[in-house]
Amino acid sequence: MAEEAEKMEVKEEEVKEEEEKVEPKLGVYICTGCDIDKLDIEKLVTVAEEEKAPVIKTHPALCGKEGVELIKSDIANEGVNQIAIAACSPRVKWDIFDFGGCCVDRINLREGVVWTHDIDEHTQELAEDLLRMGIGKVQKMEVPVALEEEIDKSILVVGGGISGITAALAVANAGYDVNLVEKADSLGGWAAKFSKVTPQSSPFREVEDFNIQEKIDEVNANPRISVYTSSKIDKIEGQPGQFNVSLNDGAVEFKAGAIVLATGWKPYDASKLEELGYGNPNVITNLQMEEVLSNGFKADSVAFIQCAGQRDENHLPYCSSICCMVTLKQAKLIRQQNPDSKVYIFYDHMRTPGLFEEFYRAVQDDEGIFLTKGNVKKVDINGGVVLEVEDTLLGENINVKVDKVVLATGMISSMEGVPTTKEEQAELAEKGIEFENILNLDYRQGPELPLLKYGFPDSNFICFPYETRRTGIYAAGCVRQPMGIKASMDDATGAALKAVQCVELISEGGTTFPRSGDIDFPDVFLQRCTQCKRCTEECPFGAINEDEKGTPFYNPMRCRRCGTCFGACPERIVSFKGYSVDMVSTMLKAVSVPGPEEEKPRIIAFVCENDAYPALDMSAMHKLKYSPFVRIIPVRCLGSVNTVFIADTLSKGIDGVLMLGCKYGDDYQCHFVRGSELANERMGKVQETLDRLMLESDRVQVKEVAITEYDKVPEIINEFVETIKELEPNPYKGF
Amino acid sequence: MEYVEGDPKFVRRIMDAGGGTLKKCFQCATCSVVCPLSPDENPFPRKEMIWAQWGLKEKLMADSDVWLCHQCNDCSSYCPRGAKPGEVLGALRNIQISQYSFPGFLAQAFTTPRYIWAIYALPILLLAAYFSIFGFHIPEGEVHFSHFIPHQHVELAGMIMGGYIGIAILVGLYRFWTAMGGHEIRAKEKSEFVDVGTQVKGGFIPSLIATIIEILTHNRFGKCGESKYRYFAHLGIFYGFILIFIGTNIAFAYLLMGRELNLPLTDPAKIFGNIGFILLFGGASWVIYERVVKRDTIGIGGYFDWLFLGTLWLVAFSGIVLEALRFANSIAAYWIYLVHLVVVFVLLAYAPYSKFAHLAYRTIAMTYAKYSGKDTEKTQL
Repeated sequence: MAEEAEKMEVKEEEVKEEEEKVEPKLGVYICTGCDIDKLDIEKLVTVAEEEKAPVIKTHPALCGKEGVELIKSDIANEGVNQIAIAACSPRVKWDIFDFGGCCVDRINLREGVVWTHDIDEHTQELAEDLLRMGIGKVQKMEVPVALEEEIDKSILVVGGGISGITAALAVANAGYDVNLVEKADSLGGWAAKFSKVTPQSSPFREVEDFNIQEKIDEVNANPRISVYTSSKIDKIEGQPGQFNVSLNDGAVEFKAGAIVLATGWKPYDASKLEELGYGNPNVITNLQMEEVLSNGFKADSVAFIQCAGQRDENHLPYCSSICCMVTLKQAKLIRQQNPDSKVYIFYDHMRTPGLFEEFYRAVQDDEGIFLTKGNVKKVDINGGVVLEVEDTLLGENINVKVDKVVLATGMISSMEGVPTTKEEQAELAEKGIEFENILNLDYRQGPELPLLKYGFPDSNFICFPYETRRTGIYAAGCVRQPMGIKASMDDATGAALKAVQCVELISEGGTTFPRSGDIDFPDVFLQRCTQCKRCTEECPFGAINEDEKGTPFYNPMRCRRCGTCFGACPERIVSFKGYSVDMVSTMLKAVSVPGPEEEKPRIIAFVCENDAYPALDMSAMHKLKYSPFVRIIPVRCLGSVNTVFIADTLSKGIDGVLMLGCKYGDDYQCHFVRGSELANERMGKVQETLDRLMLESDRVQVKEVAITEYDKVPEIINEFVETIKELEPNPYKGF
Repeated sequence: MEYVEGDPKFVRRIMDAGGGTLKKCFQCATCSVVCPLSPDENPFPRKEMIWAQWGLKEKLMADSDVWLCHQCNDCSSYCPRGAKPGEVLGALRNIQISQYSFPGFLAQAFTTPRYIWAIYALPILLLAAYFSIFGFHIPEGEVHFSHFIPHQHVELAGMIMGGYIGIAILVGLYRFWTAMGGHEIRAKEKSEFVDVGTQVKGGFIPSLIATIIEILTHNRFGKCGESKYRYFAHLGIFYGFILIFIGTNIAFAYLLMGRELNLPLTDPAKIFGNIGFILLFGGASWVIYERVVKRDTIGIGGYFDWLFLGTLWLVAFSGIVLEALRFANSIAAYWIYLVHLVVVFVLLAYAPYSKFAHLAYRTIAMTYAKYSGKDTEKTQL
């Protein structure tokens, strides 16, 4: 580990040497198109002159061919390599203003100034401040250099059920090697145990055969796939592109670039369902029913109890989403095997999402299948099986006598009960409870993917499909959410694609979502590290390991470039080439602070680039206005806002600090999982700063904004400005 | 302990009787909500739909609510699943008729399409027997039906038939009343809400009177939203029959007075009869047209419905043609007269087993609903 750290440092030095050879030269380019010329452009040019920019040019359409050529010729002929473009938002035309080898900053005069403000003295001052800030910023930027490391592009797929098989085939067919690890002695998982399955194809009305053997044969015949059955993972160490995987007590070792976790599900323990008669041979689970059906089943009457031990605080609180379809399938099969049979289905709600509604319709049409909503109060197993059902749609409480009862029990993630941290492992060991880990990651943060509610690993499917909190590891199928065969196959294909994407990005030194392809990894000045462990604890992706003393060790390929460590570090020793403490400090210094008598408050807004900043751009497109007293500094994540910036800002006489970040909590929308949450947690420390400076607590606020709330962001900003106006001006003005 | 048991065979029977879509219901209760006739307490047709899906014969056969439905089909056209509750209730009414009518085997013939030949064969055979006794000859000269078959013979046959119909229907109604639990209604359960415009409250007779007023005014039918036509069409058929009945009775009186019955168009008996036939023909044609055109939204009905509707239409149509031919003095009038006698026989003699019986069953079910206090709606004149 130490050796690798040394290697990294050597490399960094090399990079520095290389850069020192190039003389920095600033060029400022002001676009006057898209209404920007409503501003006093001459005054802006004067500002650039005061900042001693050697090259200053204005153009009516910088993004046009002529404008771009103008910049390119200055790069070639004048040696300009620090380019400040004062035009539109950095979120648009980024491909046009991409000048390889140069540092570029985009000063947002269009969306950030002229489209969102009435043109007056204050707005002109805003534009001038933003220009100064941008000029300062670009001069502090450096061109990042991609890490060049030996990368293994093969993919490890954990779990050989339908999800794992599908993922393995998808990866192999895309031209990558796969190691498929399965703990059982054969592939196939649950799907191999089902004789018939729910409809898989249009018109989704018929029970179908499912031939998993075909897929298993395909896996076995594929030269790119190595299958390890009866195998367990001892340890996975390293980082994406360089995982070292060891199986079966070290008997097998190989490398992997990325991992698909497809370990599937396990059934809910039906022995907890005694109140529904479980234990009696005539009361079985839906899983047992699969077996019974494949052996040929004859019963005159069968009752299904839906949501058995599900959507119930005493059992599984969630819906397993597939049991309704399984019951409909089994009901149909019972009727097919014995046309004189009667099948009763007691449900709380029939949940047949999407096209499965067609299957529900088809099964409903069978005259021997009787459905009703109802609450099964009791299953009497003394002398025949009698169900007492309350609140039925038949308008009364009923008793139904049947030969067999099937409990539609639910799915649990295979991760449930698996300890995900070293602390949990120790706790279980202490209690003498046996446990088995799945991935056995050699990570400081623990051996498994972190879990969210109900024991499912994190995968915020709406915002960040398949991404987990461990870079390069993708959860697919029932391990992350209960689902059926078809959905598992779709899910596994998606996860396989993400794994392939990951190894490709990593091989170019880039990171994955959301800063996909960003090569700028954190640079840590370890000599000043105090081993406070904040960075290792706060990193949402477990990218930083630490040695015994607590000195952090960065795994750059695990890093997602969010800058949470940068925000956490009290010593401010973490920085990126394009995002550093020095850079933000320079920007803060560039803001002009008028004296208290002028009644021109100044406010800094640290705005998350992922949700809040695009929301602001959208409000600009809707021509919504907000106060010109606010200077916006885009940040990678609120997690990357170091509390020191707030102290710097306030001690400079700026009146308030607003932080706009993503929603956090269980349904978080934070692209870096914990950034906005951490920003809130850090507010405690901010409070100390405020107390020390004897300033009001209202001066610093964190607000959550979703990307769709473009109509609300200007309101949030304006409200904050009103709050600040009600306070006395910051007494530090003029110091 | 009593057990509820699903009955696939009875489900199939309802499906075959015109409720083929019943299994599509997913119990959302849109039908009960949109129904302009359903009461707030225990509304239909949602509950009948699930009973039908489970094949709960006992409940369905004792259910008077199916007769409170006038098949406006608002439910069917608003049903999100295409379950057509209006059609299902129609099928249930059909099954109730055949369940209770006497004798049962005749009812069976009416629900089984393959016996349609027998239904028509009987009147033809009866005519053949009549002619074999009295001799068959087409009279010459001006068309006089009494020269072909004496009116006294027709009237006599009609009276025998009427007596039979009355007895058969009464037996059926008694069975139905018992199944609904009409005998078990205790005094305190009896409705006190029946208001027929006077102070009369409760009791069987006031309930029956209120029901008859409701039928005469068609005010329940008038509440239909989706199929307003049914109100007018049914009104036409209903009063068409009444006018024909009046006309027939005048003619019968003439007969008793010994008058020759080749009446002119201006005779009161003819005026009643002709207006009646026009209303009957118009109403029946309208219903047929709407059923066919709106078959997808409100449903086309089943065999049982069409056997009645078709016969009804034939009676009206043959009656009109018959009269036209008579005034045109065409010999063909005699042949059409035979056809007319056959279809009239089919319509009337089988009334206890066909949909025609709804006249009696609906009356008794509505009376029951009022008598038992289920139907608390006030009847207004």
